[in-house]
Amino acid sequence: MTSTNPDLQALLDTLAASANDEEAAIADNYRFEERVGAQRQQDYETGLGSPADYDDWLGCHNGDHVANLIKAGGSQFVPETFLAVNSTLQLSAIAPGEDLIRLEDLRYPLSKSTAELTSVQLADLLARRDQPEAAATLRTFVDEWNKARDNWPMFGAFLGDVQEDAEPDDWPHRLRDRLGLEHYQGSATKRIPVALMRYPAKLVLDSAKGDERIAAAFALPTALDGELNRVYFPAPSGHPYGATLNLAEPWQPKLSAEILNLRIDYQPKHLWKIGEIVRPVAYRNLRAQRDQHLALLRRETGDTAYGQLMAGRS
Amino acid sequence: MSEFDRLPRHPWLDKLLANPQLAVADLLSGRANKSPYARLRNAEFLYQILQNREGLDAEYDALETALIGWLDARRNENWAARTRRGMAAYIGALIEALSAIQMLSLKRVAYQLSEQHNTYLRWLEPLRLGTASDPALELWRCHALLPQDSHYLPYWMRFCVEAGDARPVTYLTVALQGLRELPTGQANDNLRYALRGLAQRYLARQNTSEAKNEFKQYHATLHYSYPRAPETWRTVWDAALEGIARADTIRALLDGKTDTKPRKPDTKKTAAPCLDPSRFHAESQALANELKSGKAVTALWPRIEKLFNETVAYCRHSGDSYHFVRSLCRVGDTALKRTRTPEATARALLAWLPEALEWERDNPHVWMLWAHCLDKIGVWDHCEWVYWEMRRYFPDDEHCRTELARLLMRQGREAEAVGLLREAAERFPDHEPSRIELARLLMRQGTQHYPEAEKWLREVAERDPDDEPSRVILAHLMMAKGEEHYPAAEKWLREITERHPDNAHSRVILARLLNLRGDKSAAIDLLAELSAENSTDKFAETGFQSQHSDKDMPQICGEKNKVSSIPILSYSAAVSPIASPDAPIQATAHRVHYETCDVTQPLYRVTTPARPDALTQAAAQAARAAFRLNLQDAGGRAELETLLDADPDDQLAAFYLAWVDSLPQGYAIPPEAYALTMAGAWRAPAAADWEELVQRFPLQRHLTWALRWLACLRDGAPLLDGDWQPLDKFAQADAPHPAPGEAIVARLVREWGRVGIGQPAAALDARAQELIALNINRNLDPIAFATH
Repeated sequence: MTSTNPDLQALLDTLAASANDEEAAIADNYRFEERVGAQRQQDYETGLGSPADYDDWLGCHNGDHVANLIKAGGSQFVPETFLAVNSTLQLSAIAPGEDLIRLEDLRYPLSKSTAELTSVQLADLLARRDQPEAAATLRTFVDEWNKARDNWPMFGAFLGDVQEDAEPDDWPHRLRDRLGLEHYQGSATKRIPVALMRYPAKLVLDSAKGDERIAAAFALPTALDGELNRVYFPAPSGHPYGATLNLAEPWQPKLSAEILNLRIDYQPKHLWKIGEIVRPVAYRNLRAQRDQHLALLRRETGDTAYGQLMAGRS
Repeated sequence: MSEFDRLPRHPWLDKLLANPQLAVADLLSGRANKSPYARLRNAEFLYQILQNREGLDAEYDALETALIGWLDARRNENWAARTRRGMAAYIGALIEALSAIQMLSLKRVAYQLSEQHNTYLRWLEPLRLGTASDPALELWRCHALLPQDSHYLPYWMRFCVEAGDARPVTYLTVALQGLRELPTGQANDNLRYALRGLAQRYLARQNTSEAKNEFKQYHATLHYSYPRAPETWRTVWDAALEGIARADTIRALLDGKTDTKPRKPDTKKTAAPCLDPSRFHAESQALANELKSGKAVTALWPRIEKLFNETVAYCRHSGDSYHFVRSLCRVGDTALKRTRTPEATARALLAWLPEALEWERDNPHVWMLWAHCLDKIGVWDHCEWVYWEMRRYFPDDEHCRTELARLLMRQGREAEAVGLLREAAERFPDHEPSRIELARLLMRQGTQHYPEAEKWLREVAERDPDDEPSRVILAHLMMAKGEEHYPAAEKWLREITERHPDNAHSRVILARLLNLRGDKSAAIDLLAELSAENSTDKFAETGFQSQHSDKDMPQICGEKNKVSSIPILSYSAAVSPIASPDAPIQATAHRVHYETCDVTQPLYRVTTPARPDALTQAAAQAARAAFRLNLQDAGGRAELETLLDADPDDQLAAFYLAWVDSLPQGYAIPPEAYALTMAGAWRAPAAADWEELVQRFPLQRHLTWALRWLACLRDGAPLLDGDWQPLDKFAQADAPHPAPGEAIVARLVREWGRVGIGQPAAALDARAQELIALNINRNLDPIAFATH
């Protein structure tokens, strides 16, 4: 995406050439983005003003764009992702029977539940969900969690696409790495309780009904649909979905399809597994990780001119 | 420890230590580099990097200091600054800050929030965007999750019942969390409160299947989170249901759960004797009777205090405030009605009021007792605030208007008093005191007001042949009008002396009239007769003596036809604790600064008198200013503008200005500010999207629809049948109406019907304003806890 805002473009050029891995990666994300519609880009860049430096851009992007248009609060809020302004990136051909999965951090919802459950207790409830009392307690937890969740876009993956990493016992770490969820950095003393959610696409499609503002229930992710994130990587326009940056060490040559879906109310049956992340991500070289991913994207899509390798840039 | 056990220290922590305010401001505004945690919420990010406090004391300290500063800075911003980056961003940042306080258990910040609860609540309450974006809810969560004293118990119990109706359903979770964390001293008290809260919630929700399912679900949740043996559960359930009138309904609901079902009550009481509520009613009745019979309150005080202590202990034990509040009000009112009750009694009663107001904030009797106590000890400005807030909180309460008018009259503020009394007389055609008080005031204002005073008095007298005050004052009016009206005066007095031969007051007045008419012997006979009947009747003795010394007569009855000659009757003294009608003259000289006043009588417990806090005063001030504005007093508008200028969170002042379309230029209406939005809709109902308003403000849906109905009545175009039916159905349903104003709306709908009863537009306007104003600052503590 070439910015129409000269100040932003100048900043992007500076950051892309920077020795700072993270700033270069984030500039690349914006530069490589091919799928954002012209109107949406213009709105974004107009709202951005003239960012003087990276921190300025970060503040405007996260504190203004994301906070007001992507992750705002309120039961009536619809993220820009699913509005008509983003229609070029919206997906309508997801089969209702397709199962989606999503890894959820449970720290926030556990802290806001009546039962003040631990992840061990939650796993216990899940194992005994056939018993009425356990089912009722689980229902309370999920109800309260739903009420504590805003209408933010949900990153999801197709179960059929990542099943081999969702099945093994070590699914929390494997899926974390596979789906590029670098923000889940656990350790033996900082264990992050996570839930693997599994829900049908039909539920998402149904949730879009009845609100004329919603143009589609699914959308392809772009750099504008979340915080500036060094492990996000845009996909070329020829790619049918988003493609998560694999964080495994050693790097795994797998592209996983990711999409954004409208928020749905979870049901207890969507709680598939409870686990913990007890290890940080293992990769050490962001540039290498991104370059390998870019090379794979080019191979898979045949778009050999897509993006720009970081190697040799600074 | 392997390398996986260590996560590197996040660079943001160094920024925090170097410049806490800047680091926190950057984080919450989105400028901070959180990498690799870019996608975590800010609260989660802080939890991630600060989860284990060990070795991070300096960072915690810096974070707490900075968060307090950040919250206060946001609170003190004007609306333009708040909305500079969008309201959603502003509210989102607040949610993250408050969530971080909970997740990291930042006790110093939490303590600060608790200390200034009202200030924060008033700021945060209008900022609710939804159940997940409710800054006020997060404030309550901060109170709930951190150690507190039992101060919040009444709130948690109230939230259990109100969640889903008067406030979002998420408040149930907060309430149950709060009850769980409450320091109680007894192992199962927290569970008992939670079960009682659930039981009361279920009973308030009318036994619907939805309520039943919810009850079972939360019962199971509590069962899971309070692991106890079945016998313990039965015992706790027994204690939880103690004193609940429809406890059998709960027992029946639990019938399928034999392992936890509470036992049927039996004769074997397990609760401590002091928690048995059955004797409270009889004891408070006995005390009230003894007070009425003239027994000294000082002699009775040990028993009174014992009763209050026991009822409050029961209240805290059971979550049931009925006995405590009723005992306090009954005994307190009776004591204060006696003119000889010492000030110290009022001070002692004031010490109990904070607790009573916490438990039953919406009980006008408690507020009235509060006002009477303040009046008794001579703190009239505080007393006035209480009355103004009463007028706003209880728009259908006539008594507070009359009492406020009496107070204003004593201060010489007759225009306001007349306005209040006119309002009361018109609003409450079946209630006499306001009309009589209005007539008295009009008479004091001069002969030109006599016709109106007479009109009001005749209305009362003709409707109620037994009414003594109206007849006595009518007689005075006739006497003041001149000699030619003496026969009419005598007629009114004779009517009442014949109906009530034991009424000494009217007979004394009659004797004075007879004396004025020259029939001195008849007057003396009447008074002698009265004196013989009751030798202790000081009134009669006074009258008798005065008949014997003609020189007294001019002072008592004055020169005929002069306004100042009209005697001030002891009516108000007889029905209120106000001791002397001359008090206003002495008000300034005798004002008591009760905060610093010693309670000299050791009989009473050490008191911490309740007083209206700054926010209650501000609210009352706004309500008073709005009243003045409605009276066409330009000072009212100026006062509202000053209030809003001083505090942009003053929603009440903003609302009253919005009502007359006078909000300052550039004042941004918060997205979920119900009152301000409705002020606009009321002014231009045709342009308002009522369906959208109902959806946007689900908790006030009935009120919104009722306002539309009232607007239609005002504009002479009644609601269509299709729009009327849901409102009518709501009004006819035999269901509780916990949301502010709902009960009034239901009654109006039932009484007025779809096409109304021809109310003038001004009356409808006043009604609508009252109903909307009820929704502002409803969560605020009515009382500050003075620590002087």
